[in-house]
Amino acid sequence: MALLEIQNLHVYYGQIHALKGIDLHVDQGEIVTLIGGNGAGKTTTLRAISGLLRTPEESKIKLQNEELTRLRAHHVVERGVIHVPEGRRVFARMSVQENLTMGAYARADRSGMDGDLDFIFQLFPRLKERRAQLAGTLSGGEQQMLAMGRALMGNPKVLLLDEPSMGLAPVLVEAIFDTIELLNKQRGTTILLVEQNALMALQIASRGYVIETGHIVLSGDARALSTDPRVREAYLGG
Amino acid sequence: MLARLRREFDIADLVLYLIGLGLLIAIVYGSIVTLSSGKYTTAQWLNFIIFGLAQGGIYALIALGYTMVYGILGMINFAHGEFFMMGSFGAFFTTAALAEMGFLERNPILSILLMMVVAMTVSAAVAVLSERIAYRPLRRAPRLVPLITAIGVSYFLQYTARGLFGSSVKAFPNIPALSGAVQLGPIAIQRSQIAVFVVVALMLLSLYFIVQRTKVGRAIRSVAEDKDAAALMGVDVDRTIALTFLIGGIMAGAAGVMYGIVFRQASFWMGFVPGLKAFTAAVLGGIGNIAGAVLGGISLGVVESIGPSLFLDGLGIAAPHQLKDAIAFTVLVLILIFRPTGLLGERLSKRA
Repeated sequence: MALLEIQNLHVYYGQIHALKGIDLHVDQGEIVTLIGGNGAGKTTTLRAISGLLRTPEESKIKLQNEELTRLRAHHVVERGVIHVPEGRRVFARMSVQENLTMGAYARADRSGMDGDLDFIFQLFPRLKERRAQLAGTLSGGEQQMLAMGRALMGNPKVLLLDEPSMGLAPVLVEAIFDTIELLNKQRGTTILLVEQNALMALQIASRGYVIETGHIVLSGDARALSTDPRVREAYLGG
Repeated sequence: MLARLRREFDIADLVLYLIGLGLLIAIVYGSIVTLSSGKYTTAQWLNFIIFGLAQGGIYALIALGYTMVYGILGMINFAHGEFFMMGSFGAFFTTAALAEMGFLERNPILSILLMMVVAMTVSAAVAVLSERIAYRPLRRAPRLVPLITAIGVSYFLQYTARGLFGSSVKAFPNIPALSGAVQLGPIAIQRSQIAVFVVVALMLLSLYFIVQRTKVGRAIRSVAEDKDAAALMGVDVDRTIALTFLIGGIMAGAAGVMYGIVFRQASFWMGFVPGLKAFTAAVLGGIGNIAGAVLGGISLGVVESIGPSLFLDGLGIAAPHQLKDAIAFTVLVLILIFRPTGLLGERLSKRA
């Protein structure tokens, strides 16, 4: 059974029909990637799932068969769908520690939070070193770690990652992708990964969807997609 | 050469700096003449400062509402002075009733607490209702729209108060426990001023604690920084904005009581000038910055209190104290020209 299931997702920005009926699902324990070019609707899809955008009646978003559609963003978070937005969006004027505390805002279980904090500091020792520092003073890579750590503090059932590699040096991109894989393998975290770096994303994902101008145009096994000539031509540089 | 010079020294800038320099010279010259004339004693100067601190504390409490709402919505809530006015009326009716019953004489401390509770409740309720009814529906409108609405809310509240309570100035009953002065060495401090210092300090400390150390405070700061990111943490953005208005209202209500204690009056237009002054204080400290609002409020109060005597007396101006409002708003204009970000304001930069 699908953990996260999206049926016929439409989004309108005023007159612009940005998503034209997206169907996708993510099973328990999977990494699924959504790839596509600029403006294809990747970020819009994630923002619709997490409740930042309004969706019309016919669209359905379900978590474990429970409807999330049209819940407001803070209620979606309470159900365990946690979104790491594009561009990290850490709270620059708060310390690293406070950012992590914000990640656990919707949670009540103290003991679980302490355990998760230890895990995050183990995963990203840099954050532990810099816990008292203002998040705005961190480097791009550190901010990405913080954004992911902050999301993990919310104990996600599904983690939505939007362009975690954006603007990072290749070495850091490797490190971030390793971490995503590790999270999935070690903790069994279910992940929906949106990426422009299609090659990297398909390497760690089990399945993938290709989105173009608001439609899913291709989907299937990640390995099959990465050898598909249409994908190679469009996103992997031939 | 000349072209380069022209580029670096814009003629408009030059004029502005000359005006600034002229004012500075006038202030320094006036101060020197006043001080060397020995017209005022040290005790009098100290009294000016103490009065300024009390007045500034009241400005600071009001300024916090401006600055917190600006911080979270990027909007100047020009109706905030009216929240203060409504709270002051709440305090007035409470004391009047308590004085009638004789309770005020017997239980002054309890009476003052009761005044505070009523005033804070009234101001906070007006603030939250204004947000819910007038501002929230315009959250996504262009910036000018809520600004004009705020002016509308301001007039609505003023004339509601006028309609309900009449246009006369209401005199607060005498609170015996707060009248008279306490002699502290060479200076006499009014009991009412001591009450203001205590209340302002307690309010500021509680606010600091709430904003910096509690979950609610973190929610407010997160919404002020990035509404979408805050929502993705599970913060109810609308509720947090309402809460910010609530806290601003509580501070304005406390200011209303303090104003009533010091000046012993309430009227439907009383929110206007203190509101503008508090706005000036918020800009002076750096709008959006909580510590800045406090610093700005207190500095403005002190400058306004000592300024007329210190700067203007020496220049031979006949009634310098009539010019204290002019001094306050000159400060606003100078700040906007020379340091638009205020004393503690950071460079405003757009986040990516």
